[in-house]
Amino acid sequence: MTPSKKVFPSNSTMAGETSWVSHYCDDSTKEAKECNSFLEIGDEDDNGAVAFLLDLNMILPDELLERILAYLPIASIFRAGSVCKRWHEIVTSERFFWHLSHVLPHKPWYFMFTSSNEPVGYAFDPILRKWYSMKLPCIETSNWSIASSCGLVCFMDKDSGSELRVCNPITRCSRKLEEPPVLKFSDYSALAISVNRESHSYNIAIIRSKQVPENFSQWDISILIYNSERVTWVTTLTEVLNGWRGGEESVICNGVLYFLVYSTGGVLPENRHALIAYDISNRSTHGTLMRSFIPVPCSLTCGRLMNLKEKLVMVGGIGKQDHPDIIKGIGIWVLNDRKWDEIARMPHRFFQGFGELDDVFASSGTDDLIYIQSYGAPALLIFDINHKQWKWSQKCPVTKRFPLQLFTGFCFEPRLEIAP
Amino acid sequence: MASSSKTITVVSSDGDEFEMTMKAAEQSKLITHMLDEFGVSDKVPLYNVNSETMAKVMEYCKKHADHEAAKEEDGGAAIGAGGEEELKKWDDEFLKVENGLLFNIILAANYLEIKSLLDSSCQAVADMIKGKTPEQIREIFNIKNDFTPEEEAKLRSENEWAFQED
Repeated sequence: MTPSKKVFPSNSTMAGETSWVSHYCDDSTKEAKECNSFLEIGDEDDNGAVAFLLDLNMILPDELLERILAYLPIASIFRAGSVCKRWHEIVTSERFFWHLSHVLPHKPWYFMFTSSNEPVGYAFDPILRKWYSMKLPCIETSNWSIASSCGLVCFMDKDSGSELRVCNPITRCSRKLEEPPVLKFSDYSALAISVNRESHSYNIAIIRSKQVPENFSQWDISILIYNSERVTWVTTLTEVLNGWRGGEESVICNGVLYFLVYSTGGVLPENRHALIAYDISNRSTHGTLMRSFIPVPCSLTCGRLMNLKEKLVMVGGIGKQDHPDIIKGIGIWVLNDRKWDEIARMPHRFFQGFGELDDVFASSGTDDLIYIQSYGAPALLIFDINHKQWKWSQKCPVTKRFPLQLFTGFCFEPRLEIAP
Repeated sequence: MASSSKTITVVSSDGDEFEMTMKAAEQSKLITHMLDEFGVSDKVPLYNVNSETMAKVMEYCKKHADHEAAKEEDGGAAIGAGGEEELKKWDDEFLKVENGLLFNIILAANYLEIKSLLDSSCQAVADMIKGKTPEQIREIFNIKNDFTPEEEAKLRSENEWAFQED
């Protein structure tokens, strides 16, 4: 509702406009076939009767037009902005952005890289069911770690782990962050970002794993946190893990940093993977990580972590009984109170639809949608966690050009009103 | 069914009178306020809403009032999730009117402060715009393009992906 225009007839401009329309309506009911349908003054219809047709757009005040346009999917908002100058002013106004931030989150898009050299590809829009050809801003190659939250995408270069950028891929507004402290090069790095929807401030976490030189079953783990308000990196934890290392899979959910760890050397545990939960706000000292191990629900070939409405969800490749390295299916679990609840299992026909599915695959999700993609093909599968529905996306307009071409991607919420 | 048999009378800008139950009237915050201020015995003048629009708004308020009453009665059992979906389908059909009336419904819902009707009717117009090209949008609403070709080309190139055709 429009809070400013309270409500008694003579004071409201809106009232003035309404009564103007109804005045015309009264006149035209005698002549026009439909009330409120008007022709340009002077035009005559077939019967020679004159009716009045006005720009219906003029009937609505800005506030109501804002409300209407805020319901549009992002691509339509840009198109609406080129309809006329008035509409353009509306969709680029601060107030419109305020409306946008109060509309329910847009269903996430999935960006698929189609080149291993350049950050180009196609973005899938599940609402309009279209693929848009796009180039990602602020990175030059596609060899970057990527994390996303609430409309912002964070990139970290994989080679040195020292360059970080945060951007809004829709508005292309980007920011280069201060370099994190690099004490030694790590063997593995995982990246996660969490944006606060109200304040638009964000936390970025990097988990680095480096093998201890003389003892290959020991790994040096360090966790670095960046806060956009304090504009600074803090190394909040360094610890040595025995028999486990971090990888590249992490996500922040409800203020907790989750990351997958992989068993290394020594006696193999029941499962090769485990999850660690690290509370960002309650940073404690040495020895924390070992205490926050959460086992995975079954033997996995790989796991992908994501934040769906502040719940930790994992999409995992399920390994065969006697050959745990070989994938036989894909399952989806949600973490409740440090325990996994299985939400869904990919039906066989979709699993087969990927063709030869490698034991590893790409998967990411947010809000209500989970995207799953095989690295070997541009086919994209979508799981709606609300309706428990599996669906292939529209066919991606890119075809595999050579046998070893790889595809990967990530998902992000398309938002106009957030900037890094 | 609702036990209240109290009704009030509202008057449109055309001078027509419409009767509505208290429960239906409560769908509108404005009418509720006016009744609080001025009492129920007088006729409520709503000179910013014409009869055609008023008739539609009355229909909406009655439907939603009945739906609420049914929910209260069975403790929500009779309605269930299916009931909410049915109501939404009813709303969708209800809003399938020609543009002029739809816009008048939006204005009336805003003026009368009927939030659910305002939200649904705005969404209905958004659905008409969704997925259309700027030319198509201009045609639907009879809007004059006041951009020069150069200005329009610049806007398109800034967000080229949004204008890609299917």
